[in-house]
Amino acid sequence: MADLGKKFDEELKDLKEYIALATVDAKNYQKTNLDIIKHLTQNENIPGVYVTLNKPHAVLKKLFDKANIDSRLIIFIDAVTQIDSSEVKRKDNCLLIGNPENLSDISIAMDQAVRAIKGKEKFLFFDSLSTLLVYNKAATVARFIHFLATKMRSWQVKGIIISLRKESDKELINELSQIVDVLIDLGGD
Amino acid sequence: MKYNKLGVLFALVAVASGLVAIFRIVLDTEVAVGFVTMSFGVLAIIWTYSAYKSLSAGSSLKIHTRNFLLCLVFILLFTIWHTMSKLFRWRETVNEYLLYPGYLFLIMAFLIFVLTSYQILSMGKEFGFESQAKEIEKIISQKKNSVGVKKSKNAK
Repeated sequence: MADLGKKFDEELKDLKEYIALATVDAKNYQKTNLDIIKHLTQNENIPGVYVTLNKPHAVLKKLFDKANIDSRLIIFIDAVTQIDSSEVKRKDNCLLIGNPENLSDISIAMDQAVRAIKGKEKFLFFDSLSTLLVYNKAATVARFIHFLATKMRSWQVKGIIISLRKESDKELINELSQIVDVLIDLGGD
Repeated sequence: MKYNKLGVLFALVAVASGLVAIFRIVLDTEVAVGFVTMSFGVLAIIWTYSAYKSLSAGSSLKIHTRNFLLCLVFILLFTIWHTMSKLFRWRETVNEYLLYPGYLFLIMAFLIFVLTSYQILSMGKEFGFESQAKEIEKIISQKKNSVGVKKSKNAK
């Protein structure tokens, strides 16, 4: 936590708003996500939106509780719980969206959630680029991330896009590094 | 920027000339209005169809766009029917009852409008985060207050 917080501070201390593409290896993936969220909600005390394409929000909430992260500060957009349905459903502070192919609904949900949160400082955590690539073509993902980056700038948020460090995604990550403000390597082989 | 303004100016001039031409060629005002409305309707359908094609399959917005497209189609059908009926005087030359299919198109359009409005109402409920955001605001201010109290206690 301390290392990650340091690394985050080092890379992003001068930026009030940023778009960071963080790459991490599979082994450290979960811990890294938790550390970043903990850093944002606990150290910086800012609310935000967590877009999950990997773990259902119920599982995430349990993990957050275990890690002493206040999940009440987070609005979840979950595109994994109802993977076999295209219906959009609401559950407390979580919006369940069909599946990660449904980029239109994910975009609307992010826009609404981010704009709803008042205050100058907020974050948007996108988990993850690698999963998006499983469901969509690389060109579609690149276009979507480009759109997301533009939106993040207009929303004036701290935007973090997580990606697994995989050989197959290297090309896309290199391409996206031009769009984002910082490319952070958060460990791995 | 300069070219953009010029483009808009040309487009406005073109639309105005088109309108003048329609009203000059078609002497009956009702028919002329019908043709103008039809051209706007076709443009609206083209734009909505392109939006429909670019949206993700199964998404709420795509479903909403499809319903909206259907409304536009029925309204356009009504306008076409009404204009043709006026132009060729169907009611006088063919049958009085030829008025009614037009109304059928209009009824269909409004029925789908109701459906579309209901769908946007549900979307508003699903995608609206205002109450959650208020809750978050409350928690943040509580946290800030408790930090302030702790700091003042420590200072004492």
